[in-house]
Amino acid sequence: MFKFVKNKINAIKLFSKNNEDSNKEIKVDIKLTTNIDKNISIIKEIMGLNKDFIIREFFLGERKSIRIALFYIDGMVEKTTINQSILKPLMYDVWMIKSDINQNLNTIETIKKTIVSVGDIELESSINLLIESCLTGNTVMLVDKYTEGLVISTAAWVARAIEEPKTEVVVRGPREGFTENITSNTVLIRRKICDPNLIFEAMKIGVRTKTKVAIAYINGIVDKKIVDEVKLRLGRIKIDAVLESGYIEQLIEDAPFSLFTTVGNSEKPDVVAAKMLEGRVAIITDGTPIVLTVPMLFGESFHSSEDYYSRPYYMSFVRIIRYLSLIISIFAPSVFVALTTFHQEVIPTPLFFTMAVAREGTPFPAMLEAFVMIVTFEILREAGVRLPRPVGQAISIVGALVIGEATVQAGIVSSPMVIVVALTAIASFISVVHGDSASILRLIFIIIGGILGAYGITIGLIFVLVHLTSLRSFGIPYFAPFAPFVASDLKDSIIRAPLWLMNRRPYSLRPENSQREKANSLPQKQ
Amino acid sequence: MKYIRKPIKLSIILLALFVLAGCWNSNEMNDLAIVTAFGVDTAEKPDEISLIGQIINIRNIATAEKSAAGGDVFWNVEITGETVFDALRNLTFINNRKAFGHHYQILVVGKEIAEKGVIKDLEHFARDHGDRRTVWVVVADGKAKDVLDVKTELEPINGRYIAQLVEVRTATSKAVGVTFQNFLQRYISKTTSTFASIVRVIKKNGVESLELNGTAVFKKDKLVGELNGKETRGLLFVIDDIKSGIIVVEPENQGKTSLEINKSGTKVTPKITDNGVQMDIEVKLKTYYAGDTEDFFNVTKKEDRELLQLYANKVVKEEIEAAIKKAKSLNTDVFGFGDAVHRKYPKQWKGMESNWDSIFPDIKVSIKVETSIDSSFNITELP
Amino acid sequence: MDIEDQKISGVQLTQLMICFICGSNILLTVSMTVAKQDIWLAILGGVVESLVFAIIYIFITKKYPNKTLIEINDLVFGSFLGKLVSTLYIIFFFLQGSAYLRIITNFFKSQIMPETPMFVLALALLIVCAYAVNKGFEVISRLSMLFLIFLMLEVAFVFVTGYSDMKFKNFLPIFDITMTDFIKSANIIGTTHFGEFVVFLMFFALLNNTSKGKNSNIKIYIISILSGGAILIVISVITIALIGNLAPIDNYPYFQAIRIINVRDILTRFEIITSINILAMVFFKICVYFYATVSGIRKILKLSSQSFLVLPIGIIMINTSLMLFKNPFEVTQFATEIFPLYGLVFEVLFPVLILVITQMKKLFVNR
Repeated sequence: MFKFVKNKINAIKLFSKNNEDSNKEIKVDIKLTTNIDKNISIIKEIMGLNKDFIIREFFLGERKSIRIALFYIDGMVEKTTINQSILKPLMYDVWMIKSDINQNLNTIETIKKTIVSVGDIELESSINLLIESCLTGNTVMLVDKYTEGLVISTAAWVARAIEEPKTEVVVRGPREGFTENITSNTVLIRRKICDPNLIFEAMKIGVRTKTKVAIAYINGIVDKKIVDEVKLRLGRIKIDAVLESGYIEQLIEDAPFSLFTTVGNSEKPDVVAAKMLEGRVAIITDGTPIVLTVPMLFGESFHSSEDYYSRPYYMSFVRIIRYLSLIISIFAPSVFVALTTFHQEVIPTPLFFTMAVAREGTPFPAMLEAFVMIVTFEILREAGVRLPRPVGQAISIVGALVIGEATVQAGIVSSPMVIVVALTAIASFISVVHGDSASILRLIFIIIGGILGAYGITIGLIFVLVHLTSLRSFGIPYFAPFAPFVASDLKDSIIRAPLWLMNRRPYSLRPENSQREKANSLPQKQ
Repeated sequence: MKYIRKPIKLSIILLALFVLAGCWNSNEMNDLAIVTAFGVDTAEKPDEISLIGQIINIRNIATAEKSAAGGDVFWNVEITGETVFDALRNLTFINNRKAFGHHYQILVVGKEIAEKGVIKDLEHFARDHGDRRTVWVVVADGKAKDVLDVKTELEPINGRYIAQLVEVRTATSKAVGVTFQNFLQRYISKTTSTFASIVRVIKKNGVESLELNGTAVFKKDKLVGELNGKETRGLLFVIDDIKSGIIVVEPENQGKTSLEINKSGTKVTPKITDNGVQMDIEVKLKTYYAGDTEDFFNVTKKEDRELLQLYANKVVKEEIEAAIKKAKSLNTDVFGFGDAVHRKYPKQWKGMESNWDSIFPDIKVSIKVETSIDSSFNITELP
Repeated sequence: MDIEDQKISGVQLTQLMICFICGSNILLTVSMTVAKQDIWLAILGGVVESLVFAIIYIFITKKYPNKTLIEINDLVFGSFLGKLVSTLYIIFFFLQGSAYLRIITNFFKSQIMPETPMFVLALALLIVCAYAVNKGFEVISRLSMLFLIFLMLEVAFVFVTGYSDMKFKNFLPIFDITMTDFIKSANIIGTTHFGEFVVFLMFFALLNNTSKGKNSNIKIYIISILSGGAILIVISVITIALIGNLAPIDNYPYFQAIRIINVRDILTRFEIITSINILAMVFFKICVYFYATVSGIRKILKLSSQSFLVLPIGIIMINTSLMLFKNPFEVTQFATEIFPLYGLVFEVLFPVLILVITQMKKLFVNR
């Protein structure tokens, strides 16, 4: 039975190899020639019919002998920079240093070093790369008789301002969230961690999109093996487009056949900073506010940044509630089905009578009832998420009326079932990360519970636990600190111990430097 | 795709195996006939027994909650069979749903069958996998059917009513509450005799109602006699199962007055002497003075308290003596004296076990009661 | 990393061994019928007996720290005789695994779902076992602590809720047991609960280097035997205190004892939790035997991989478990009368032989 899983993996490996071959486009690297007209015509040919591709030609020098051409994409550049810092110096201010130009020095060096007043400026000779930089919002300047062009950083476009993220809402804690711009995202992290050991390594992924991806980690804390593994896996990706970090997540995760995700993500800089300080690696992708963090542990999905900002006692209680709600959201309907159809004898007698009264006259078996109700709930939820907000409210009213009132009144569904499904639904909203796997597991468990009762549910539970224990995320056991049991890491799992007790970084992540703070930093009275 | 074909096949086979073969043990709740009480009676044929299952009429309970109208909430099905289990399955001849006995709360044994020996009829209830041994066992004074047929107030389901009747016995401690577990444990112990409460049907102005009154005493599994309320409490004092109760004392020239038992503890110490076996029974009582007197007894005074305590001791001692006397006359060791001797003198016990029946009536008992009055409720003393 | 090369830590092995002992708790009834209220004495006797066994195993694991039982057999008995002994051991492991599969399905069939075919129950459990075995010994041993905590919580919960119903005079009279009965029941406990530790001779080679200290195997054996014995005693105390003289006549006394717990009609009827725990513990027992069988076959045939063995052996195991005994009575009879002697062959005789031959070889070489 397990052979086919192996076969699957092998087949996928094969599959990816084939892809690699097909993606190998034959690219001839065209170099610039000394003839500017020829250069311009080559670039024009490549860029073709693009209306937003601007070519600006002008002359420089006393006798207007030096031909210069500017290329940029309209809308992706900052016009004022081009006007004030490129065109104006070249066309007017150049008279002040005309002597230098006339001295027949290396003109392009002179332009770069003395005339253009823009921060980032580079020399480049390959036309492909020049066009590529043009496409990312830079301005390319070609000078006649030179086989190198200047790439002037002028990128600027309309971007979303830093806002409070919609997904990770906190009562206490910073309100800022990542934006779609990778530069501002790295800045947000840099501002949290003022440490020269904070490293951002850049790379580009995506044959067509050439998406900028940054790997961020803190030297001296992170386990180097993890960083190497991340780089290795990112380097292995050969894909057309990376439109969101989810593409990367699905291509680097450890267990592609698992229901559980082994890559974490966050939209908040403080969360990402905290995870990096525990010894994780962050993967920042351009064009999305979602930053990936690896390795991910199972328990991580129950953590919220607020847990650490508020006092520990209530937050420990909240943690327990979160674990409980995941258990409820997966098992409540199946356990209910198993109890009402297999193990009626274990329901306390008074409750049993009440349930029997409610159940009388309902036409469907409990398993089917639960299944239909859960599916109905999923439909309502999906409708609520996708629809515009005003309509969404209407959906919830209809859902509440249809499910809650009418079905029970009509005697189609028993009222305890409605209560159980409602509880499941509410509980499922608490664990966002495992919400998707919980939804599927819930349905599977309803079927198992309806066929084999508590025996089946136990077997299924053991199966899930074995699976969770066998998972690894970038070499780190996924189900730590529960299995393998790491006692010292339990401080930050089902409970959240006071900060002055958590003076060591999680042992499960094997950080290079595990000391977080002074061993005894309990607040002292003076 | 090739590599996905095999798991699909396998999962289809597995799914088919589990789904098509059916959900073996599943019973929908609305396919069950919920039994709240079982009764066993003698049948007309001598080698058969008659089983009464009290089935709840869920539909009527459901309507009764919504509107006042509605039929009976329970339905007593009587069926005969050669054994209890045979009869239990025969129930499906006249009842459309499978009898579901895992939630029954009371086991009523008819008097006739109890006199003939009851364990072979109750054994099934200990063996069946879903049945619980925490149900109450009661003996009907007459037919079990008559007891189960009575319509009761406040709790319309008769079986639950009887169970609750047994549960509130502690207010008086003049009736016993015996679970099936206790019943079996006493039966298995070679010398101890088992007992159970008696439920009677009383008729007043043509309306039938139920009454818990007295204790039925078994020798092995045969009903041999009864203890009245006073003797029952004596028995409960000895086996240390008193929770509460009222002791009525009557000091000379002062009328009746009552004490409520708050706490009671009994120590039974066996002694083997040259004259035979002697049991030392030591009862320690804590009571509240409950009044009911013409001239308010002044329990704040030490002399008055001591007087009351003295009389209370006497009452308790009398009750215990009455119980022992009755038990000796029936030659039933309801107190578990045999077990007590076994625990203390395991070596001597080996010789005594087989002829305990001849030893028990000659057991000497010394009773020591100590009562204390700890409270007088709202009233302290008169000026 | 290859599944067969996984390493485990000493703590994990200890946890797994405790789970392994608790997997036999379902068989408590066997010795309880003999020892009655003095069962705790019998358990103490069993613990002492198993400590004696443990000395043998400790010596063996010390002599051959990096060898599994199969390799030790080859070294000690020579290649042909060693193979024979190893085959016997593999059959023993396989039959034990099948027997426990049968015991747990019997339990569920008789107590919880009487109409479900035994084959289905066995199949469902074995699918999970096969999955776990396929995932490797590391996963099995890592998971054990989680279930051990479940078990302890459950026992503590039962103790607290059942305390008001417990009658500790049920233990009187103490020492009301004949010597033969005591030895018999102690031997049953020693051989079934603890003696099956012989299977772990297969796994001591998997210990990682940090756990291969000088006396780590002594620690592992002593701690797991003592804590397993403690859990066993607590469970039997709960049982006897709750149901007293009914315990020896019940098929599953601990399970029956939990059924009578009733706190105000609400904290009641939670025996299903107990059955889940029993199932989880037996799961470990079957997994360990299953893994021992599979890896034993791999070692003896010198195969490079073992995952392809899991499915066929699992299927044979299901069928064996169904055919091994005709009915539950035979299981009890086997556990009471046959196993205490049959088990000793594998638990004591061969290990002692291994030790003796090793010592003699040493003498011979020295001379």
